[in-house]
Amino acid sequence: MSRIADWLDERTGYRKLAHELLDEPVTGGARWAYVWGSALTLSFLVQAITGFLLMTVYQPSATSAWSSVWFVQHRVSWGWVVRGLHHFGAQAMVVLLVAHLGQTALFGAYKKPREMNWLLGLVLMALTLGFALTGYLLPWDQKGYWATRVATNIAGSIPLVGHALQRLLVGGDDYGHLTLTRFYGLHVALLPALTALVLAAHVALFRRHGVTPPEGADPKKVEPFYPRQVGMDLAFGLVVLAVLIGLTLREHGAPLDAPADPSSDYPARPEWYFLALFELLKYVPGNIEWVAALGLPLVLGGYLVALPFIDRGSSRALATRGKVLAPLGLALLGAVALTNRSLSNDSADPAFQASRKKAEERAQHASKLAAKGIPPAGPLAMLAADPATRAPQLFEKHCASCHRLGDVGPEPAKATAPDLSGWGSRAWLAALLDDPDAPHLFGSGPLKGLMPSFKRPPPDEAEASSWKPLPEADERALLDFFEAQARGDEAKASAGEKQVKQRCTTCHRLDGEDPLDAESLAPELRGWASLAWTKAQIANPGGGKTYPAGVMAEKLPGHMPAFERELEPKDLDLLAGWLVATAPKLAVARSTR
Amino acid sequence: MLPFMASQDDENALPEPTETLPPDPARRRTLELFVAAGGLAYAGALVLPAARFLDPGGGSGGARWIRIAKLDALVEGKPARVAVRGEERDAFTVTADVTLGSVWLSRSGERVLALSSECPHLGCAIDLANEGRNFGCPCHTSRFALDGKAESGPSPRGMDPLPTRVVDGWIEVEFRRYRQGSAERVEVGA
Repeated sequence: MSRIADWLDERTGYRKLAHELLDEPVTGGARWAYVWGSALTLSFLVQAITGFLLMTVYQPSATSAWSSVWFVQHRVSWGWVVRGLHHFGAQAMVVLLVAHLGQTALFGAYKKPREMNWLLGLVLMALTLGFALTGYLLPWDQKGYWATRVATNIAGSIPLVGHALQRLLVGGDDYGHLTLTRFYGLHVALLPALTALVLAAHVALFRRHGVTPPEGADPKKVEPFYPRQVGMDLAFGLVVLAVLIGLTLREHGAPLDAPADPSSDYPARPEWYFLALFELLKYVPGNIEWVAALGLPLVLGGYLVALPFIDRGSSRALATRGKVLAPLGLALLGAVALTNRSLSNDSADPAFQASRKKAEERAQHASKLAAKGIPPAGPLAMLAADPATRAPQLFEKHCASCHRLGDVGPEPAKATAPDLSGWGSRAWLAALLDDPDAPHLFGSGPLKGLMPSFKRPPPDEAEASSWKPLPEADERALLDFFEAQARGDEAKASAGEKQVKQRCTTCHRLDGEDPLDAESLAPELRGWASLAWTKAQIANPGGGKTYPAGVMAEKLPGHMPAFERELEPKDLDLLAGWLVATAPKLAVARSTR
Repeated sequence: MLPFMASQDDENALPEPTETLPPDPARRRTLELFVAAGGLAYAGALVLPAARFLDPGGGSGGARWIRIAKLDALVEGKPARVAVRGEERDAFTVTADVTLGSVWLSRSGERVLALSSECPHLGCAIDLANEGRNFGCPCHTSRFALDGKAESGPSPRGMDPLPTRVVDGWIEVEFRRYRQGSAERVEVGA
């Protein structure tokens, strides 16, 4: 063994190299305070290895990026582990960077003759943030897409160069394939190469000047780098790795939002380390937001660059440097305060929580669909072809300005058409029989006052004297009948049908037969809320299959329009099918009278 | 580069840089052991996921029956090459109606012989040769009889037969692939 080592040493001189690497004198002795730099280097190694592994699956294109990341997360063996390590490794690097910078600043390690190394460290920090910004977009999910759009729009708002810079980054005017390939190229080739180069220079310079022991350390006490400092560095590196593994296991990898959808609304938030900047933007008028988003970090960066040249005294004692370090402390405090404010604003905002919940449901649904296979046209095409995704979108677009369903649509006070939550169910019909003109039913639309209540006496005293409430047994029969209609069962010759003929057909149509009151606008009751009835109603409410033509009259402003002119037949089928399946399961809104 | 590369011998050969710290061999030994074990643990924590990650995993689903041609379209004694089209599952993408490969079909009466057109030698596409009297591989000149038997050339086995059946006048083939270059037939992706 030693003969082989001798042979190798004669030809490579590795022993001298190892000696230089390992026995570098650590003035003042090994310290835990020195672990930050090596922890960063080790984390960079973790990022390089996991990053390479992700590259073996990832595809940078607008139609396949999300799919390939989904595949890593859900199909590749240990894919979620590798992805989680990369995701949390990136965040660990930001934390370690701040710690490393803080330790260097506190120890005064930027002072002569180490100014250049301080500057190289700042370059490494900028590169790391570059990694974070470019990497966030790559999954091409809602989160990365919207956050990066905001970031590139800020870049675009810089006077003079902004537009060109934005086009350069985005690869044109629109987000797409080229945006991804550009960000990917930066993330996996240019930034790693620059980082490796600058890191090598940073470490070489550090070796040249050695550690900066704190004021008061014994300069005569010198210890070799190996084994005690190496042991400390490694021990801390292992702790960091253990934290990464812990976070990865807890979160089962890293989050993946729904596929990027330019037509959707999304509560975009950047990664937590940019939240302070994000919060700051809320207090800056739009036309000068680049001043806050880019100017402020630039001022801070400029101060960091200038620090070794401002603080040129020979003393490294903290007491004498309070003034020069104060701006950094203030910036850190400000960032913490803004971050905290952003987080607490969001957690106290029900609208944000609701849209966050919606986004998460969409993400889960997309993931479930992806498990069945993603078409070559990509995950958005997959979602567009899926009724459970498309139908609610159609409802929101075409119905929700008047009708409410669940928590979608106008506030009950502002609705101009019946609340459809529970529509087709017993409970909805019971509420209608009780109070048809309740604000959440027909009370706020053009059909107000046309149907009498079966449970409440009429306001007219003469009529009220002869009025009797609907007996409970008859109500039960009626509800049975309507529940059956909604299910698609005609319930012919039932007790309920008898009740309908006795109590409703003065105004309502049944099986197309005109009511006694030929002028009545009341709808067909056979098949009420069934799929066919619903389809006919959406296509043309006045088509005669549901309501008579009279409901479309101009003297009834705010009546429901015929959607057969706006909706493709297949979308109409999709919407009706989904509504019939969804609405009866929702809880009926309570009367607000 | 690795911390544990320097052996004890080297340490003794080198000038002692510590002047004020008294060397404590037992403590040093413990530290060296920790560094070696910790370094291995760190490397292991990265190598293990990497090895698992790169494992390509299961196959694409293996054999399945695919309808490929009308029985009437085949002329007895004249082998025809027919494309096999079906759903392709490639990692995360599922594509309907893709050409998956091709087979040579020969009819005798109601029976159909299907032979994979992939050469069992190195996978080139087999064509008719010798004016339709043989099958031949254009790459390394393996020759096969019309029933698929290997006749000459480097192919380690005859052409791979695939099960067929006739349903409602349509020929269906149980499409599958075998590993190339070996005398036995080992199915791929099953």
